[in-house]
Amino acid sequence: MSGGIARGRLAEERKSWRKNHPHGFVAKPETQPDGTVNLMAWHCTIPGKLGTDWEGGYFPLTLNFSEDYPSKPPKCKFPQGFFHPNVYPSGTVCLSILNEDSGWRPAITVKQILVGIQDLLDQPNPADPAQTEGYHLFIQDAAEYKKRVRQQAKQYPPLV
Amino acid sequence: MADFVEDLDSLFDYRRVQPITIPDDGDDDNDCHVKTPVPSPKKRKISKHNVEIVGGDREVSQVTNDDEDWLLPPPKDSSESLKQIDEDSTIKELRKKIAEQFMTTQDQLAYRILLALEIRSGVAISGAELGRAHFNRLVNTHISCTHVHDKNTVNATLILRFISQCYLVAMLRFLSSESILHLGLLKFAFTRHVQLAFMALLRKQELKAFTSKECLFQPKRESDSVQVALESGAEEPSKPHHERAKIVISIQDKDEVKQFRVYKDEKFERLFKRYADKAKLRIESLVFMFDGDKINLTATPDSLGMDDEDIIEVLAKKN
Repeated sequence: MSGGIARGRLAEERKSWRKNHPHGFVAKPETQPDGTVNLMAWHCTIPGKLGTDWEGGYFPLTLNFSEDYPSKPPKCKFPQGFFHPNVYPSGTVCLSILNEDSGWRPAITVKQILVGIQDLLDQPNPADPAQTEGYHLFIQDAAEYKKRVRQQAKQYPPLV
Repeated sequence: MADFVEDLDSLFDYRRVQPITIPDDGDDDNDCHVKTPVPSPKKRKISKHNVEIVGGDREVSQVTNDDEDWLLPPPKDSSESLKQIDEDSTIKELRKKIAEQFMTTQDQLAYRILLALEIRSGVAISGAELGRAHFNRLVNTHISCTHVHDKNTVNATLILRFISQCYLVAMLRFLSSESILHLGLLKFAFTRHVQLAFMALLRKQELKAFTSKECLFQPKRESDSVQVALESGAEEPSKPHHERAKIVISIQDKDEVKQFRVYKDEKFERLFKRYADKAKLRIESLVFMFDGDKINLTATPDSLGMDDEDIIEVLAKKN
């Protein structure tokens, strides 16, 4: 049963995350109202990189794993309307390593996914736009783009 | 184990142990083993019977733990003599008199030792048996008291130091009043009882790893050497008896990870203070997070379900 494989792998991912993960990141399987843990959906936090316009923001991201994981990548979503050229209006992240048909490999870890998305925040890929507003400002109005990014970082302050 | 027990049993066959042959030299390990044959099972049986009789009449009745089984077998004819002791008012009087003189706990124990030998000098062999039971109970009581007092760490060293002090007190009193012969017996009995007490302690802890036999089975001449020998052996075994589980926790800031060993049921407040001290930061300026949630100072690793090497993230508060 492939679901067993997915859960086994996710349990391992969680275990290794608890012992070692980059500073400021959070990644934990969702706890359902009845107290049980759902390994197939993770709530994560990606900190904006220091020294960039994203600094100070702690951006919430959910990872939804399918029963076919790790053959297929998880679906990674920021909140709806997240401002970034490579994030769909739904919040879904568009990134090559998260594309089953292009860069995804089963060996890619949750940690690598999250760090990859953190890199993407400050280094958007204009060749692969996913939303018009973010894309146009990034291409045409650097100052406005910068302002919007900083504004958004303030919207997601650390949870303390 | 059974071998040792039997060897030790034989040591208390007082008919065979002459004061003059008492191992004075602590270095001579085998001395006491060689001299006395192993008592027959029949003798053991009688021994148990005697203890029961004693128990019926006196406070010694509490000496009913398992250790009694492998203590010395008394001589066959002792039950009759024991009754005599009970009825002997002079000894009771003597006892009261001494008890008044000894006020401290240590002296109380010393008094019991003295009593043991006094009875013994009066009624010979069986008296010693009685005194031995007294002494044994006291030692055991003290051990269990210490055990209760300090649940987490059974400090065997402390007990032994205590006993050794009692021994010295007893010895001094003896030197002033009794003959050298009795001193030898006292020494012998004491050493033996320290061994037994310590063995009982070890068994209570189900300590199997303890292997320093030489500490336990060598009667030492000086109380100091008993203490030292047992002390050196006692440090190792006391470690695994921490009932409080420990855990290694990593505290990670943006630059590095520091690891700390803490008790699982210890409030984080203490760990955070340690961390703040080490990092030379004020604890008030720091925020500690686990899995994205701020950690309450009164929480414990257990209450957050933390495992070994779980990471706590530390952030600097922004003012």
